[in-house]
Amino acid sequence: MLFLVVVNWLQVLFNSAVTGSLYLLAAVGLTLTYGLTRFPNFAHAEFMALGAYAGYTIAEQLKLGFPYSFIAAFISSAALGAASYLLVFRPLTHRGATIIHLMVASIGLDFFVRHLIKQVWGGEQLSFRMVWPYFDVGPVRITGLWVALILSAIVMVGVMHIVLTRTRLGKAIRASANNPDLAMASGVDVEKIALVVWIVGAALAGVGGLFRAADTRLVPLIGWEILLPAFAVVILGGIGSFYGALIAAYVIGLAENFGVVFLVMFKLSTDYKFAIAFLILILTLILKPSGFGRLFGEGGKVV
Amino acid sequence: MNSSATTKTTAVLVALIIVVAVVAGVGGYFAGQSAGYDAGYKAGYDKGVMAGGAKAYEKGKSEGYKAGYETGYKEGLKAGKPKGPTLPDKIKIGSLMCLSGFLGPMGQKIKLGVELAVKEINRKGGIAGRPVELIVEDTATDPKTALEAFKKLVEVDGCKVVIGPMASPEVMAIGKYANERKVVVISPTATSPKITTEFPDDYIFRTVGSDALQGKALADTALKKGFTKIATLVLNNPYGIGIEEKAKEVLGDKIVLSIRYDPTKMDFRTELSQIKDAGVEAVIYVGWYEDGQVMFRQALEMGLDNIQWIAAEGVYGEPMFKVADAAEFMKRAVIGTRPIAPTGLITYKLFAESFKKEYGKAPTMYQDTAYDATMLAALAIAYAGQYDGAKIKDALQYVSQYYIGATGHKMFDKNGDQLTQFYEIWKVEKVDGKYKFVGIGRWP
Amino acid sequence: MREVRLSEPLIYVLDMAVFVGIFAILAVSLNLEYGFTGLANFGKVAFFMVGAYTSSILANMGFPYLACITVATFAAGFVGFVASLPALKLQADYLAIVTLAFGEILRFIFKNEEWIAGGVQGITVPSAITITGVPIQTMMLIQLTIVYAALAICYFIAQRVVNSPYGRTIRAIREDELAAQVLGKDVFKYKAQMFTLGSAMAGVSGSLFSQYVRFIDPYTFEPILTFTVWMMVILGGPANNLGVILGAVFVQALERGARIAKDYLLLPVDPHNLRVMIIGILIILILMYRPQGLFRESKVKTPALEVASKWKKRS
Repeated sequence: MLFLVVVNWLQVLFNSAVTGSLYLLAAVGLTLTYGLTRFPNFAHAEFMALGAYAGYTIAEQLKLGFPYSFIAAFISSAALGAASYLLVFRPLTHRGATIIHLMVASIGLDFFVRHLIKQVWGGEQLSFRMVWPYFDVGPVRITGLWVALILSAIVMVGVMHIVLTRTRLGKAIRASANNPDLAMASGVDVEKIALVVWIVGAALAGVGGLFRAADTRLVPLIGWEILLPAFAVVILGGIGSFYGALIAAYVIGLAENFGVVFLVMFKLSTDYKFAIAFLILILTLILKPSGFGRLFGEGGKVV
Repeated sequence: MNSSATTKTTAVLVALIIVVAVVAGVGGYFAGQSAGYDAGYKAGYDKGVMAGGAKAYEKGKSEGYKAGYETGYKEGLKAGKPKGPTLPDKIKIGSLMCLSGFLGPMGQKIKLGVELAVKEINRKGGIAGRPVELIVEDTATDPKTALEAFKKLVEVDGCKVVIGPMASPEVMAIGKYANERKVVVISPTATSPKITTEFPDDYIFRTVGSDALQGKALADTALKKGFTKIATLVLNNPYGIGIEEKAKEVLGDKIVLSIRYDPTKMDFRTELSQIKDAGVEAVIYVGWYEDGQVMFRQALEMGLDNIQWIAAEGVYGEPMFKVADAAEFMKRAVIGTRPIAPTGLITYKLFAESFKKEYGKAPTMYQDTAYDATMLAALAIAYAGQYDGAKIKDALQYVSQYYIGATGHKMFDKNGDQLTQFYEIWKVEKVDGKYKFVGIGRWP
Repeated sequence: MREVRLSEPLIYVLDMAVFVGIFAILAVSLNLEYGFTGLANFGKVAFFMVGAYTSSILANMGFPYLACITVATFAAGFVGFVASLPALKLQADYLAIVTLAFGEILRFIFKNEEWIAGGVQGITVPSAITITGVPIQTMMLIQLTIVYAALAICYFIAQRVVNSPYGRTIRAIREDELAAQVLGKDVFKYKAQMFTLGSAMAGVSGSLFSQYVRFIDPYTFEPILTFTVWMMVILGGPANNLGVILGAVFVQALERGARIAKDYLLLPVDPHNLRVMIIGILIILILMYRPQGLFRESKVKTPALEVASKWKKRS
């Protein structure tokens, strides 16, 4: 059954970096909000989708070009994130909603936003028309979009790192995401922090969605395509841990891309590529639920 | 007194008398005229009234007669009509089209072919004088939705004939129900060979040839060009797999790599890497617009335009040019096949003219088969004389033998399939800065 | 066989009624898991799928329907049991994510392994009713009878389970797992049992579904089906079996109604989108203002309690 396939390993490595960067942008918001507000937000998929659609409108319909669509994605998703937190999740928490209630509410919100998007933009597939330059670096094919994506991820990581370690806000975020009760007891205004985290997390997700759409195409379900692997990143990295997510995103990127090579070698369908992320998710939850977070003294949930 | 006084008096008297006489005469004249007028007027008036009334009377009598006659005739006709089922006053034709989902863009266009046929029929007075009502439902390119929409058309709207559905999996989903409910189904676009095996000799028909033929066409094209190391890259559904299997039959071990992909995935770099790494000379490709756009764009990015791509008709269409990279890739590296009508058909010309007149543009793929399917349905209903599924089915089989439509002779074999199907070999060129499809050959 | 032409719309309604019945069974099964035991099963569709495919494969091999549905029930229950072993140790949200992922993996397997059941091409399924030459109205009525008989049995079983000391225990587990443990209850055993029962019930529903729609493929079993069942349970009222059945009626009616309504109403909005948006908002509103659902939790009515209350009325 095994047959050796000629593989361009460097290309696979590069692709892993691309995939990982995308998942990182998507998962940062998810892991921080999960840690802070203590529930998995399924509507996060629509943070990504809205960013992509807003970016599309700017880029294609108003023809303003990609940099502006980047900003549009950032802002629109940020707004949606704020609205979701202030109008839905914070009130629910105040009324004593359980985790399951919040999860189901996030599903309801997800349905609502996605079909609103569908109503406004239609359910048809949309394509970004802009042409990205591509070039070869040795045996590796690279496109401008991928470079932009990786750069965005690097910049984001840099900024987050500085904020999280050098500023009071950042420290407050880390504390709250790790252990909200303790943080509150220590005088941190967890709710204000939460709002900031929801806004920033959603904004990053929006940018991630935009990149994904530009790289492939735009459909209403684009959020869900990235959401489930994003959850895998969150779990593997440890809930609430930014650094854990950083590592986990690239680990999963590598797993998916190298996994495909092995799938082909074993003559299995490449469809299983997505199952790889899910499998990692399940195994992590069962074997080591706190994920990588423990390495940084954070992550997992304090019950 | 003397005589001069008497003479004067006499003269005055005489003058007076003359004046009076004149006045009297004149007055009398006028008086007489007036009296005569009055008398004459009155006499004339009376006579006129009488004359007019008589005319009206006559007129009324004749009209009353006419009306009475016509009503009497109609009633008599109804009473005298033979008792038995006839066509309803409005003839319903249902249609299941993909108006959203994968085949949405295609479906929106193909619907026009069906509507054109209905318009033409109604302009000429309908079927046996009764207008045709077209009811269209959206299947969203999903078999479950197709079944639900089909049930609505059959149970709520009472359709006995349905044009569509478009996608092969959708036909598979509604087939059994159609047979149970005795509803004739004519698909203008479903090409999977599986439909022949699953639904032989029953209510399922199609006006396009089975892909058992197109698979062969694609494989033959590859053979003619002398390729010996070929890959197949197809949609993971009955449409793609049907062609892949046929191509494998013809090409045997010249096919060194077979990939089936999920159209919902939208990122095909892994599949494309495999093709690149395998070093094949040609790829037989089956895709639809949405996935095709992404596939070709990513293929261009990865430099796969140095091998020959041979595609099925799923990617033939203007929507492909929406993505500039995909269009460019097609120009450089893609040829393909698509089902067409035999050349030089007058019926196709007439159809195309009518289409252009109605919609302002030339017809593209499958609008002709949709048009034919609808026309055949109407003919079958007319021939059957009753709006009954079983009778329409038999009638359809019969009229198809004599029907030469926009796409040629549409005779159905006993499985409801087309006997023959011609294909055009096409490629993409850039003319005056715009991309267009160009025919470069035929098959067989 | 005279066909009664006037009752065509009736068939559409009967068709909807069958779907309501099938989904009602699913709703009751989820209710047992979530409403009464507090388990967040986001992978309900997986067990529905196992039931459907098992039943279909056996039916295509020629087995009589009673055998197909029985094996399907056990198969779904078994898969539920196996899945519960590692998963139930997790907290609510982890359980939700794991069950969701599990469902997706299972769907991928069915999708890509054609030898199991046709892969993406799906399989056609023979109906449970094998008599031929019967008019459609009668067929529908027979289907309705079968489905609602199954629903009645499931409802009866569910009520028996929850209106008993056993039922009290699982409610206790739902409220406070730690307390229940302290009181000596093997919490894990109860959770596993309920999960298995819920999965088996989903298998029943899956089997009925497959023989009614006559064609299934992997795209039928996407997570959105799980979420739809969740909507039914939340709207109707968790821990109230009758309530969730009504929830099923409501959600299905909305879905079917939207398709017909679009022929009569000229809205600027696509009714399908509007329908989903309404459901989304409703869910949020209910969770905010009436989380116990439209119908409150049914009280435990064990035989002992009934006797006791009769005594109370006498005195």
